[in-house]
Parts: sequence; structure tokens; C-alpha cells
Amino acid sequence: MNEAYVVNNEREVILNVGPQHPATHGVLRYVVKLDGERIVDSDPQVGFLHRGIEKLAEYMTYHQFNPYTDRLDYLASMNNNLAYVMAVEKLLGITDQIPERAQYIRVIMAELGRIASHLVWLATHALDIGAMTVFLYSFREREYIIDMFEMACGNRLTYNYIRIGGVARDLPDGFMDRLKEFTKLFYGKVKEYHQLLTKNRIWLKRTKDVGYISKEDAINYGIAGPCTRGSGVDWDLRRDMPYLVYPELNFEIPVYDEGDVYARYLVRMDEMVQSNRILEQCIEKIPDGPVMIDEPRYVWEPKERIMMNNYALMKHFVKVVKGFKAPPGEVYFGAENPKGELGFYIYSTGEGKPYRLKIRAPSFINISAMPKMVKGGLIADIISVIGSLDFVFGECDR
Amino acid sequence: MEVLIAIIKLIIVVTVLSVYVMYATWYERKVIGHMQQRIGPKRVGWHGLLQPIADTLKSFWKEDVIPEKADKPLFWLAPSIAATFPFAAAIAIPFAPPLHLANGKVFYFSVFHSKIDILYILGMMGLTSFGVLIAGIASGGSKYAFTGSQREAAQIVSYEAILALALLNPILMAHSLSLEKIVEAQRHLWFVFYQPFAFVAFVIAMIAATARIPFDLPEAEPELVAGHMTEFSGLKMGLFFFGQYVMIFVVSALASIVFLGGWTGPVLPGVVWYWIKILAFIFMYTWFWGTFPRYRYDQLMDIAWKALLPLMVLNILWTGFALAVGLPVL
Repeated sequence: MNEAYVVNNEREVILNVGPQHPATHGVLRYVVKLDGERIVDSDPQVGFLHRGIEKLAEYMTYHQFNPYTDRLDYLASMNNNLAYVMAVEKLLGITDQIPERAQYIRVIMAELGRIASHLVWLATHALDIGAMTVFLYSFREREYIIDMFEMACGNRLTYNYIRIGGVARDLPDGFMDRLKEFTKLFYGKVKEYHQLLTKNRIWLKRTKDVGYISKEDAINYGIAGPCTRGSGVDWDLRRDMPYLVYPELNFEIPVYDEGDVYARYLVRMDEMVQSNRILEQCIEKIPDGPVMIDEPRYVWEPKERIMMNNYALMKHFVKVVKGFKAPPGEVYFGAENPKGELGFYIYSTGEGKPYRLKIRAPSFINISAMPKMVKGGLIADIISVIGSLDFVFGECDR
Repeated sequence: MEVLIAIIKLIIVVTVLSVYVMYATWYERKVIGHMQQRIGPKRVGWHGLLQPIADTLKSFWKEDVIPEKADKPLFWLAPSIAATFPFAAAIAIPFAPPLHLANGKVFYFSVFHSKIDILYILGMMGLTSFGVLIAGIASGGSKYAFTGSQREAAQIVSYEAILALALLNPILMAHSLSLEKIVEAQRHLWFVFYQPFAFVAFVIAMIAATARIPFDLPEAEPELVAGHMTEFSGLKMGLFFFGQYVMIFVVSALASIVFLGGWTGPVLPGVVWYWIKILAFIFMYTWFWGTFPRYRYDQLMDIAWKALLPLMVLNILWTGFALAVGLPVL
């Protein structure tokens, strides 16, 4: 039995935070053993949002599973699509054939998704610590991004836009203008958030030296993404295991050594600026051309051909019902998601459906480090730490 | 006759304050809405003016759940205390400058008027906290409620001393505990210019006393759900809010009387000045709400005991010394 559930003396109290609680960002059940308000021990419990997505994948064709990845980290659906699609493409061996325009569109979408996800993180983190205005300010900018996503794919939360072999359709007219407008506007908005929080005495008091985790522990727990970069680990998959056109783009990886909530806060704030820089470069560099590979074995035929051509219709039917035959083998691809490294491991036996699909969910791994971070703190520190770890339960519980 | 007038005044004050509380919520929501690039209540009535009435009616019709384990008499008592004692404090607060009648008498716009107004108000404010404390105990072992009450206890010992010490400076300068006398003493220059430190300390303490951001620790929502109010529902919960808003009025009025010269001011009539100052304080509350995150309760105690208390003690020593020697106090 876990130590957190055993009361050793009459001073200790067990408090059950969640699963329905204003600060648990979904359905985290967090059992804390308290001495007064001081945390003696704690145990996070997950699984309240378990939908068996990994198992579902075994009964679905590769195309069919794409929308399910939207439901993992629903604040950054584009990034999930990207990671899954890249894993499948790696399995199929078509990674190099993706048209360049599609690659740029993917980068744009991923970085916009990163900004949107970080904005929600900032909003909820600040709201949990009591700064209500930041919440509404950052949702204002997120709305702008969501509108752009809606322009591109018609949806506002679950996009299913990045498909195997490219993206669903080309960017609509006016998208680039809006993107330009956004990148110009966003620097000022980040300054606004900095103004409200970064030098705020109360904010510093609530976040500095709270939720500390050392570099070694961060690596040992397997935390990835902004959380580990706040502990001085200089590791970003976009740079260190490059994919898409990231090597051609110029951006920095913010790293802070303090390992506390404030360091993780600064990492994400800087990341938003860097993502914006990437977007600016993408606007400059994006070429014209197709957005889907010409590989009829794996991708859908154009709708017109399905309607006009009997053979195309038959092929389409087979692809919908049985799926395309992927080569046997196993493959892992990890992408740098806003929350950390989102990895898809696919084991294929050569059928139209994966034999096993495993998701390495960064939220799940980040939560595992929580007891270490909050130990010895106060109840209020749990809230700061939850905010700074930025987990989403769709992804954690899968 | 005296008694009759007092009863009539009492009825008027309670009614006016109740309506005031309703519209204070409207005012706050409008102000914070515009600060956050929203528009606030807009649907019910013209510019949402009927929204407070809708909210009040809603709280009447909500089911009133009493937990099985709760201590029932205390469970009733807690919201009653939290709502009545702010009113008890408010009856000593004048709503307008005293009226000098033709027959030489003075008509006071407060129900209760004495030489020791400030002591009375401080006493009633202190009693208000018992509502919060009892709420935690009455909730039948609800840990959130109990922690909320614990925090309130920590908060009381932090702010009460500061509140009293900060008030002591103007009292020393005015040589009186009566609100009218204190205003009288500020005819030429408001005390805030003599006592800036005391004013700042008082503002911090009054925010802690009313448990608002950045010191809304007993009910810190992301941490303790609703703190001491977690188990309360319907009108009982409404009463806590009611008491809080009356309390905000009381401390705002107290601050404007003691430090900002109450109804003294150029050009405009006294009563207008007085209400401008009170509303400015309520605006300040909202402004802080829109700007600041929340402190941790140990940090509030640090501020109170390690920074404000020594400062206030020094301030009083200086004020006393300066008054004794006849120096201008600053």
C-alpha cells in the first residue's frame, strides 16, 4: 500500500483532492497526506478519462485512427495528428516524399497549436494562482488561432487536418494574411502577459522555489518538454532529432536551470515567442506545390476521380474497409508536443490495422513526478505545480 | 421618540445596504468586465441592471442542503453571524455628513452614534470572523471547510493588529474615537498626507479583513473549492457573500473617513465627496481583483508580522513623539 494512505499519528490528515475539483484540470484525483497544511506525502491517481484509445487502434485502419488522436491532448490536436501521422509515414517509409509545402503547412499548424496550447496553460495556471485577467487575455489570442484553424479545416477543437501523406487540403485564401497579422500582433501580447505576471511580486512569491525538481530527477522520471527544460536539460526533439523542415528554420530552445515553477513558466513564455519566430520564417519560406503525396497505395484518391473512375472507386472502397497494407515491422516516432514528447509506437504485422499501438503520453509521465515536487510544500503549492506541469487528461488517461 | 427614529433609521439602513450590496456586485462585474475586455452583465434589464435581482432570487430558490454530519445549530448560526455583524458594524457608519438643524440639534445619518465609533466598528468586525470560524467547525468534518477556517484564524491574527495599529495614528492626531470628530480634524488636510504608511497598512489590512484578492485565502477557489463555504448552499452561502460585501462597504467607508477626510473636499457637496471616496475604494478592490494573483497564507503572515507590524509600531512612536513635541507629523 502506498505510504500516502497511511496515517502515522493524529496530526496527519488525508485529503482527497479531486477528481472533481476546480484546480485539477480535468479529472486528477490527488490524495495528499497533510500535517496542518504541510504536505507529508501524496499520490496522484489517474485513469478517470480512460477510453482505451490504444486498444481501439488495433481495430481500426491507419486512416481511421487519425481523428482519435485529436482526442488525446485536445488543446493541441494538430500536434497529436502530426506525431501520429509521422509515425505511420515512418512505418510506410514515405517520410522523405512528403511535399515541401505540406511540410511547411504542418510546421505552421504545429507551432500555432503549440502557441494555443501554451496560451491555455498560461490562462489556467494564472487563474489557479488567482490572476483572473490573464485568463481572459490569453483566451482572446487563442480565439484568434482557433479561428485560423477553423479557416483551414472547418473545426475548432478536433481538427484531423494533418493526414497520412500530407495535409487534408491546401490553406484557404486569406489564411496567410491572417497569419501574418497574428505573428505581428503576438509579440505585443506576450509583453502584456509578462507585464501582468513576470515581475509581479505575488507571482514570484507563489512560483519561485516551489515545485523544485533537479536535473537528474527530471531525466530519471523521463519528463520531457518544457518541464524538463525548466530544470536545465537542453533537449528539444525539433532540434535534436529533427523532423519536417525544422532544420531549415532558425529558432532557439529556451532553457532555465532553476527547476522550479517559475523556471517552467519562463520556458513556456519564451517558447511562445520562439514559435512565433518559426511562424514568421514559414511565411517567408513556404513554397507552392501539392500538399499531398502522389502515392495511391496509401492516400485517398481525389473525390472527383472516385466519382468518375470505376477502378478508383474500387480502390477507395478497399482502403476504407480494409485499410492499406502497411509493411510489417515496428516503428517509434516522437514529436515535440507542447506538453512534452508525444511518441507513437506502432507494431505492424503487415495487416491493414496496427497489431499494437502504444502512446507515450507526456502528461502521464509529467504527473508521475508530482509527489516529488510538492513534498514539504503547502496545499497552495500543489496548485502552482499542477499549473506548471500542464497536463491534459485526455492524453494522460488515453 | 428617540427609539422610534432609531428604528426607522435601522430599517432604512438595512434596506439601503441590501440594495447597495446587490448593486455593488453589478458594479464590480461591470468594472472587471471592462478591465478584461468583456462587457459584464448585459442581458437582464438595461445594461444588466436587473441582474443582481435575478441573482438574489436564484439564491432564494436554490435547494438548501444541510450535510448529515453537520452540527445543525452551528450550521445555522455561522451564516447568520457572517451576515449580521457586518450590518452591526455598518449602523455606526454615517451615510452622509451630520445635519445641523435650526433648533441647535444635530441629525446624524447613522443609526448608532457615540464617542467610541471606531472601537465599536472594530469590535463588530472582529466578531464577523466567528461566522467563518464556526462555518468550518459546523460543516461536519469537511476538510476543505475546516482548512478554510484554519486559514481564517491565521488571517485574523495577521490583519487585526495591523488594522488597529494603523487606525491608532489618525486617532492620536484627532484626539478622538468618534468618526465625526476625526473628519472634523481633517478640515484642512487629509490624514493620508500625514500618515501615508498607516494608510497603506490599513488598505492592506482591510483587504485581508474582507478576504478579497490578493488575500482571499479562506475561500481560495482552486485550492479549497470554496473554503469555509464548501458545504453551504442556497441562501446560506448567499449570506456569506452578503456579509462580505457589507464588510467591504464598512471598511471602505472607514478608510475614507479616517484617512481621506470623509465628506471634506472642495467645490462639491460633502455627501458627494464621501460617496466618491467609498466607490473609489470599491473600484480599488475590483482593480486588485483584476490585477493580482493570490498570496499563500504563510506569506500573508510574513507580510503582516515581519513587515507591517514593526513599521506600524515605529509609526505610532513617531506620531506620538511628534505630537508631544509639536512637530508636524509626517
